[in-house]
Parts: sequence; C-alpha cells; structure tokens
Amino acid sequence: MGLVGAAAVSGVAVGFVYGMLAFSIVLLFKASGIPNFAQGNIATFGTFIVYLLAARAGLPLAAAIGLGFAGTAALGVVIYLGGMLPRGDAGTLNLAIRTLAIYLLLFAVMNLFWGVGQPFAFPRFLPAASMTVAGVSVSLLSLVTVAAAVVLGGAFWLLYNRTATGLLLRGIADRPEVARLLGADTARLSGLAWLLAGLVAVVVGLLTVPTALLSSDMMDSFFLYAFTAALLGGMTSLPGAFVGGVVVGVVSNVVTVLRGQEISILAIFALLIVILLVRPDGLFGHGVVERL
Amino acid sequence: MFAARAHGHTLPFALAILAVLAGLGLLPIDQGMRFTVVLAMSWGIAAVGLDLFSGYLGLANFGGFAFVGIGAYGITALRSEAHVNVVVALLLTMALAALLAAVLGAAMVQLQHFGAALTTFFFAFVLFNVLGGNTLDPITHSENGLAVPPLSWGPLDLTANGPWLYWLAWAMLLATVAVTSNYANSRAGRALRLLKRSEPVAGTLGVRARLTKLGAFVFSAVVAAAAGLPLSLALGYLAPETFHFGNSITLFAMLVVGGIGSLAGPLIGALVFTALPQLMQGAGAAEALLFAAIFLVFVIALPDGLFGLLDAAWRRVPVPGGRLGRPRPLAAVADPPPPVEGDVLVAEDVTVVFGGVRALDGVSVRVRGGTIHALVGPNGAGKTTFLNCVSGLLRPTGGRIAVAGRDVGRSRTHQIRGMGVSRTFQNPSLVPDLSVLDNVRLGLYGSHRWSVARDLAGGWASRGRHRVVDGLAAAALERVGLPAARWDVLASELSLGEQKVVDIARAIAGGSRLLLLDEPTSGLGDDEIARVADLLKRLRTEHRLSILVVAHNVGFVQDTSDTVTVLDFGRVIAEGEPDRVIADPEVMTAYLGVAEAGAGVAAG
Repeated sequence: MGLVGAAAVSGVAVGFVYGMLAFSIVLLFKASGIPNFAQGNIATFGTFIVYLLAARAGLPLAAAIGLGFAGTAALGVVIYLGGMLPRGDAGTLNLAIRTLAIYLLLFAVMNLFWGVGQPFAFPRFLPAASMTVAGVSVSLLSLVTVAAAVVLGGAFWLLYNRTATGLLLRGIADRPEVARLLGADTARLSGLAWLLAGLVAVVVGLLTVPTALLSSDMMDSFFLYAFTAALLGGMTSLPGAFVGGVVVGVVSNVVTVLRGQEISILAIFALLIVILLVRPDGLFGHGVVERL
Repeated sequence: MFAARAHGHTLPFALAILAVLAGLGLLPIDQGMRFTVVLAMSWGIAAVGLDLFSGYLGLANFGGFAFVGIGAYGITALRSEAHVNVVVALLLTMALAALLAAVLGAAMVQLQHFGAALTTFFFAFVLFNVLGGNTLDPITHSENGLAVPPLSWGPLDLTANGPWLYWLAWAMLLATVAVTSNYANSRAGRALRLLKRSEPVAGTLGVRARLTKLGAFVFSAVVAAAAGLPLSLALGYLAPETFHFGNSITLFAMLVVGGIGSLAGPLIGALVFTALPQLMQGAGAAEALLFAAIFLVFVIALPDGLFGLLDAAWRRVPVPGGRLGRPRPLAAVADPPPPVEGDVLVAEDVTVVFGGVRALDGVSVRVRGGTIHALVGPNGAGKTTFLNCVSGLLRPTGGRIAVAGRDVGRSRTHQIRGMGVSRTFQNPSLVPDLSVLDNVRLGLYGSHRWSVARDLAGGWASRGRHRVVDGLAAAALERVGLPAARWDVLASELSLGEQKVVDIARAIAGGSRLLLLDEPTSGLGDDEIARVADLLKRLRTEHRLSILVVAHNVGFVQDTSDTVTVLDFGRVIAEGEPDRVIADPEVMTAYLGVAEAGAGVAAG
C-alpha cells in the first residue's frame, strides 16, 4: 500500500471531519435555506472556548468540553436571533452575505481577544496511538473520527425520522409556508437548527486540533473543502455530505502526498468546478423547478 | 437574488465624488494622506467594476480582489522580469485576467443557488495559496514577494512618493466610472437587470443569458486587474499577504456599505473603508472588528447602503415636471414580420413528462394566422407548460412544434424569439427598478444589431440606434394605450393592470408574429379585463397579430377568441368555436366543475 495507501486511509478519516462540517452546513441549509459561510469559524470559536477553559482557566477537560458545547450552541442561537431573524425575508443572497460578515466578525473577535501568541498547542485528549490494519497504519484519532461521525449520523437519523420536530426540520426551507400552515413555529425551528449546527461544529473543531495547532484561521481550508463536499453531496442530502467529505478528503490527501499541498488545493477547486458543471444538483440532490 | 435595487443614471453622483477627489489632489495634503487616497482610489476602481456584476446582475462575487492581485503581480512581473513597457504590461495583464475570468466564468454562469459565491471565494483562496506557493515561484518569488520597479513618464514621477501617481489613479478611476456607467445604462446593462429579475423571461425576450452574464464577469475582472497598476505602484512591494482572500470580502463589504447597484456607492464604500484605518491609527484587530460590525449592520438594516440614504434624501426634494426628460416623440413604427397565411402555430402530439407525471399528453393545437386562439382548462391542466414548450423554456419529451412552417425543434429561447414568437408571463416580470420605457426597450433586445464596444463608448456612438429603439418602444406603448405620463414611472410603481399592459407592450415592441399571453386577465377587475379584451381585438384586426392566450375567464374567452382548445390533465378534451366548446358537457364538468350538464350557468 505504501504512502499513497496510508494517505488514502487518513484521507477517509479527515474526510469524515469535512463530512461533519458539511453535514452541519447542510442541516442549516435545509432548515433555513441559508448557506452559512461562517460555519468554519463557529467551529474554531467553540474550540477556543474549550481551550481557554481547559488550558488557561484550568478546568478539567471534560468540563471544558461540556461548556464548549453549551457556549457554541448558544453562539448559534445568538447568531440566528441577532443576525438572521431581523428582516429575515431579505432573500438568500442577503442572508448569505450576512454569514460572510459574521465570518469576519468571529475572526476579528478571536484575533482581538484570544489571538496573541497563536497558534496554540491544544491539550492532548487522545493518546497518539495507532494500529496496523492490512499493512496500513491507522491512528486512534482516525478511528475516533469515524466513530464520532457514525454516532452523529445515527443520532440525526433518529431525530429526522423518529421525531415530529426532525421531520419539520428536514423540510421547512423548501416549503416554509406549508410548514407554517401545519402550525410549525419556523423561527423556533430555525433557531434549533443553528443550535444543532453549533454543537456539530464543536465536534469538528475538537477532531481537528489533535493534528493541527489552534489558530483563528485554522478552519479556512476546512470550510471550503466542507462546502465542496456539501455541494458534491447535493447540498440537501445529509448522507451525501459524508460521501462528499470522504471524496474530498481522499483526493486532497492523495494529491498532497503525490504533488504537494498547493496542487491539492487546486485539485479540490477543479473538483468543485467539475461537479457544479456536470452535476449541478450533486450526487444525491434534486433539481428545483422555478414557477413562472 | 440580492434585495437591494439597482439604480440607473447615477453618473452625476460618481462624478461629484471624483470632483472632490480632484480638489483634494490639488490641496497640499501630506504624504500619508495622499498615499491613503491613492489606495482608496485603487480599491474604488475594483469596487465600481465589481458593482456591475454584483449590483446590476445580482450575483455574488466573493473573490473580486483576486483579480486585483492578478493585475498587480502580472503588471509588476512583466515590468521587472521581462522589462516590458508599463502600458503593454497593463494591456497584457488585462488580457490575461479576461482569459482567466472567461474560463472561470464559463463554469460559474451556469451555476445555481450560491455556486457563484462559493467558486469565487474558493478562487481567491487558491490564488492566495498559489502566490505564496512554489508552482509560480519564478514569477511570484513566493513568500519573498516582488519589488515594484519605480516608474516615471518623462517628467512625471509615478512612484509612490511622486505627485503624479495620484493623478494616474484618479484618471483610471474616472475612466472606470465612465465606462461602467455606460455599460450599466446600455442595452447590455438593462439585460443584466432583467436577468437579475428572471432568467427565463430574459430568454424569451431574446437575451442570451450565459453570454451576457459572462460578459459582466469578465468586465469586472478586467477592471479589477487594471486596479492592480496604481495599487502596485503605491505599495512599491507585493507580498501574497496583500492579496489574502479576506480582502475580497472587504471589497464586497465596500459595495454593500457604500450601496450596491449604484456605482457611486461602491466608490463611497472604498473611500470610507480605506480612510477609516488611517483615522484609527494602528488599532489593528479592533479596527477589523469595527469593520465587520459595520458590514453586518448594513447588510441587515441598510441593504441599500450609504447611497440608498443619499438617494432617499435626494428623492424628497421635489422637482417640477419630473426628473427624467419628457417622453420621446414617436420616430418609427415597428414593422412586424408579414402575417402568416394559414397556420402560424402547428403543434402536434406534444408530450411532456415530469418524473412520472404526464403534464402534457399528446396535445395538438393549431393557431390560424391573424386569429385569437384561447387555451383554457382547470389549474394544472398543462396550459403554461404548453406555452413553455412553444417558447423554448421547456423541451417536450415528444411531439413536434412549428412556427410559421419552421420547426422549432431544439432551438433555444432567444432563437425562438428571433422567429417572431414573444410572450408574457402570469406574473408580469417587469424589472422593478427600471422605468416603463426602459422595460419596453428590453423587448427590443434581440431584434436589433448592437455592439458591446459602442455600448461602452457611450451615448454618442450608439445615438442613431437609440433613436430607433426609443421610437419603437414608444410606438408599442402607444399601441397598448398606456398614457405617456406613465412612461417614466418605475415599473414597481405600476398597478397590476398597468403591469400586464406594459408586459404586452414589451412583447410586441420587437415585432411579433405570434404572441403568447399567460393569463393576461388574472387578478384584474371587470373594467381592466374589458380593456385587455379590446386591446387584443385591436392587435388582431389592426396589426394582423396571431395570439394564443391562456385564460380562465369564460366571458373574456367568448368575447375575444376565434377558436378555443380545452385542456384537462394534459389532454385536449375539446376544441373549436368558443360558444360551442363551452356548451360541451365534458368541458362543463372539467372546467366549470359542474357535475351535470345544464345544471350550471356559464358565468362571465
């Protein structure tokens, strides 16, 4: 198998990280119709909360992680209430631009208050163990990542398929007026989607920092890759987000090993353009018919 | 699409700002201030160019500053490595930017949703990595960056500290404002605004959507690349960090805060965003926070930006006789294609399948030249689907459609418009921020030859054509009987009845042989319906126009139509003369929802 094989395997693992970030983007898109350009920075923000509580305030890591989840979920709700709900009918592009402004805002806050001396080494919470499967070395982090993705996917599958709230979350972006007629409180559902997206973001951040240093810009490439994964999966398909993430992860890791980081970024960009041209609705998406 | 409206004829505002900048250049301001204004003007060039794409076409471009980077690096590398003359370097780099934008744009203009937003953002990220990477190291010198050679033209010192760089940047900004304003207010600019409103409608009016969008994208990129010249001269040194992808977001923020779709607004935004850091010396991260907060507040609360505030204040000042000139006199009359003897439309066995649903199931319709043919049926019967097939918005799964004996086949919408087929839509798709007359001018998009070069050169070069188009548009408006006092009103201020009538004027302005009308009477009162009925009859008898009209109102159909086809569940259930067809028991059941023939009375 050699280097390329190992790169492909670790690509699957990192692909699940992209997949989870893509998943949170898709979940929000389905529930509110907003493509969230700030999702990567929300993940970084949540990771910073955990870092500050654990490494600076000296809290036990488990408590810090718990508070990190709570804080980031709250951040999601605050962004929704403060940034998306006022004049929420201004159109998709306007709302997308708001998320871009929030991207800048979160970045500036992290730089201003926590950025001095970054990047930081995150406290180790997983042993750097690895095992060899069929001649390929697989790290514990990779296994944990895949396990986290499975648990997350399973939990959301149950939410979407077994609860009335989940059913509404799946569909309100397509037909908000129908959801409203059915008596759904769309504002509350959108808020819930932002909260859930915040929770998933923290998982993404925590699975990223064991191999990358913590800095305010650490999610920039992740975020673009995740968006590519989401589009590859069809932007409305939650399993598609994971499939897209794994494709992006494997391609980027293998090309990095063969030709270096710079070419791998170009390769993913080319992948994005090709997907959008060949299958604008992605692998699992469905087209939208415009009424005239 | 972006919520903010686009503004026409904003050149005076932009020129006023340029005049202030010229005055500032004459004052003995200190070196630091001069430098800041040169930077601001460089950003302003890129912002004004980008406004055409994002403000008038309404597509997001979150990678606009990447093309400034391509410009700055391209011009500098050509000058320092290849020792090329600066003007040649500028032109070559603009050509390179055009080429790159054409390749990227060809993919981008086909994207839906926010595909454009993501690809442009990603492109800026790619460029930042390439500038700092190894692939182009011989040209970019990677992290070491490029030193910009000093420049002087004879006695004119154009280096960062020289007095003349200010005027170079100013002149380039002036040129950009003039050319972009011509673009925005030309035929191509109006087409952009129509595309922003609705792409299918633009297609039926003869606009080639992809090409038009691509043109705007390439234009923005070329202008941004030109901005790289004053920027590189002012900075004196280029590093990848200068073209960080975050700067593209800053550029977009300038548009939003200044006022998107106004040309003058982005200029204001560029000045504000570049001047503020100078005032808040060295605040660094706090300044970035303030900018992000300002940006967010504007997107939410003031999507029309600073220009929107200015414009609203300006509109409150009353001007006797209106702001625009009086309606233009009639200069010409549209010469429609000769009326067709025999059948103008022959549709045979047209079938459309959506998934498992047969929206049209073997529908055949014939429309004789110079007659009005009505298409009626309950909701979901397939009436609009049939019109979409005829106008090329939808490709039938099976069957054949011919207009005036020519097979429509696989023709695109704008080609079918070229065969003399025009149409209106159930919801009149006028461009809300254009005047009535401008909206009707859009109907002449496909029928006259134009040149982009002339559009950019402005009024003088295309004066003769404008006179013809104005005359045709005015003739169409007279024909539908809209009072001249309403011609300069913005389409958003019209009543529904007026909108429907203007929509018809737009459809016939370019000379039409077959007019497709989708529910021209829906939502109208009895008086207005009678007026539309009179208009259709006049178009038929006086202009020998053939009309296929979708309608619900039985009285209207009986009053206007020569023949009727009734659709139900995608099939033809009756056809013939109106009075006979409407008395048909099957039609009574399907169309009027009457269970037993004779039990109901056909209502008007």
